[in-house]
Amino acid sequence: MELLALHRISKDKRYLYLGASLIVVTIAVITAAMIGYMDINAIQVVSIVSQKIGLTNTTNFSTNQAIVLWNYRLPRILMALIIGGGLACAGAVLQGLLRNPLVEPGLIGVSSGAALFAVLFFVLGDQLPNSEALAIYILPIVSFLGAFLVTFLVYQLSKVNGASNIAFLLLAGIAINALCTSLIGLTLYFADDDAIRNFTFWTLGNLSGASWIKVFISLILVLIPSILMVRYSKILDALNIGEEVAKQLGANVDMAKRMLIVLCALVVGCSVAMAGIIGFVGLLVPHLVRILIGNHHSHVLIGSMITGGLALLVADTIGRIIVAPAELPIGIITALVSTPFFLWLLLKSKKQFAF
Amino acid sequence: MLFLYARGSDMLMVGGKDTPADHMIKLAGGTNAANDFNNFKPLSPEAAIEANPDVILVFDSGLRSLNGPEGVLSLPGIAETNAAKNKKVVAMEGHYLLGFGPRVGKAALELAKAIR
Repeated sequence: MELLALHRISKDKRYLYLGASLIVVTIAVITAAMIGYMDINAIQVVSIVSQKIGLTNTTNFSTNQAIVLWNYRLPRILMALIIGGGLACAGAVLQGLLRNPLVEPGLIGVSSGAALFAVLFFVLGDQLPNSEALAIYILPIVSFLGAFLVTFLVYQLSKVNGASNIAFLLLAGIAINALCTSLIGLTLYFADDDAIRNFTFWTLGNLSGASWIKVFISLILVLIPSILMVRYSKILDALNIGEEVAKQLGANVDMAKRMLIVLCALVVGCSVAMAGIIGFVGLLVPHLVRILIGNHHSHVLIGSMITGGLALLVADTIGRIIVAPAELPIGIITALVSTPFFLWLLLKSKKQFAF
Repeated sequence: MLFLYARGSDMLMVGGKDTPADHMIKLAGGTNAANDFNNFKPLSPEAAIEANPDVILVFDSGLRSLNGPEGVLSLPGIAETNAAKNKKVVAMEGHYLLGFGPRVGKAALELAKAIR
């Protein structure tokens, strides 16, 4: 990240990137709405949506096309955008907060903490007097608790003389990650068939359960916290120079840190509850954005939100069509597609720094 | 009619052409709604809506894994079909339905009556 800080980008270029990415997102949304088992063309997509929100009343599409688009594809597209954006944003915040380019919700155990609590909820949930409808609302909260506990624990463990030490943080994170994974394994060992099958969904990530209720919940618990994080971008910028400097600049560092950790845990916990563990988006997207539009956190966070959403949408659409009518878990795609891309970017920026 | 091999809501396979389920549906005088692929494939909501089956056929074990007929008919994709509108789920014991043993005639007759 220190190296990337040298990489300055002009304002014009930055707006160009942001504008271009918004156009690409729009194209990606319409394309994703068109592709699938059932053929729906672009004009039909537009007229179905405008009819559903009460603008027009055209009949150039069939009822089945409207059902598929409105009940299945559209919620899924929105979930991909929201969750991808949230994860990328949380990744960028954690990288800035802990001043470590390697930090990612999946790597330091935040995601597996959320998954552990989700699995516990699944296995023990049978004993609770609950219904499927209630689970939709409780699961995000339970996962948030798991994500929050792990983030807090890792952060506390990494403290050396009051400041978070990067080596300790990574090691503690990896240890907690392993602990959570083994606890999940232990829980599943005593669980029944159904719980185990539910769990495979969690480890690889999957957006196929998308519905409008879930879109609504992730809007509140993922999108809004992500936007709130942007408010702290100045403090994150100051933190990049050093914690002491940030304090001397007058920033309420401790308060900001606590808020950001809670917000990250909320975003990651809810994402895990909605779509399982989706890796790599939180690690790669912020780096990509930094290379493209520079290092200020307000830009990185907003850029990550847009780019992360786009990345997840593309990955999900590929996963949806590549083995149709079956589906490939999204976690496989994000890792498969984004790692070579990231390595290519890395090699490219390496050349720029060579003399 | 659509045959669903279910083991919980995350493990749903549809019987396509040339599967035992396909043959049993034919024997009972029905039409398999999944007629554009061979073998068993995972259920896709979009494909199910497009196929629009009138009846969903499951094993009784599959029915239990989905918590009864309501569970079957509220599955993504199935919920929008004619079968869900008319609440038409037929559940039969696995070996009896698709064992093709001595009881095959009886099973076919029972299925034929159930879908009439």
